[in-house]
Amino acid sequence: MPEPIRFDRELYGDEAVRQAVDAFSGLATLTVEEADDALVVHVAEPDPRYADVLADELANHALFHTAAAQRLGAGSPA
Amino acid sequence: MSDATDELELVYDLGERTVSFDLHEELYAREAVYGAAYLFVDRTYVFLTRPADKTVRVRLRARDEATEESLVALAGEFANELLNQMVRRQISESTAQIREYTLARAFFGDETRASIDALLAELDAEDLDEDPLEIEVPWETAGA
Repeated sequence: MPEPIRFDRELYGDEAVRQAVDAFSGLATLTVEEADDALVVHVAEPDPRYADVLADELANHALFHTAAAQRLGAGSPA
Repeated sequence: MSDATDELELVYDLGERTVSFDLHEELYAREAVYGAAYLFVDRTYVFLTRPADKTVRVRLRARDEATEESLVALAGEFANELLNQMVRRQISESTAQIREYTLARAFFGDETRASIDALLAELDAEDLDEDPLEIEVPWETAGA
């Protein structure tokens, strides 16, 4: 099973992470675990065609949305 | 090399297709990190972690096979973009007041209102008392 991806809540917006999870939900079974300081995304049964890049692409997606929200004036996550 | 330069030098940690380095938020604003990351997500994988308070660890992973030199070059480009973002931020902050002033003048300036008031005052000041209706007769004005 791939390593879970830990998104620090001070660095990634919750909404951004959830948007990324939604965007990639068709390529793997993704579950989000809420910790105090992080959102942990567990990846299971990834599409074999994208298994090796899925976590990295998902993380890029979450960072893009976080940066975009910050640019639009929503501020940093924490 | 001076101490100040040493402090700003980034130490790269190389791994398989990855290069990582730590940024202190007292030196590099998080907004600048996001700005640089925003420009890099289409060419590399960027992941941020928090190894310590006020520290952001940036991990760049090449999309394809990469040599040590290319990874260091990638990290260097990211660091350059980070500085670019910092400068943009500082300029934006230092010119914020003048931008606000210019916009305020453009949208809410009273120059137009003042010129209308001046014209009205000029009309009021004209001596048309002899005419109870204050209608100026052109032929009288021409002969005067």
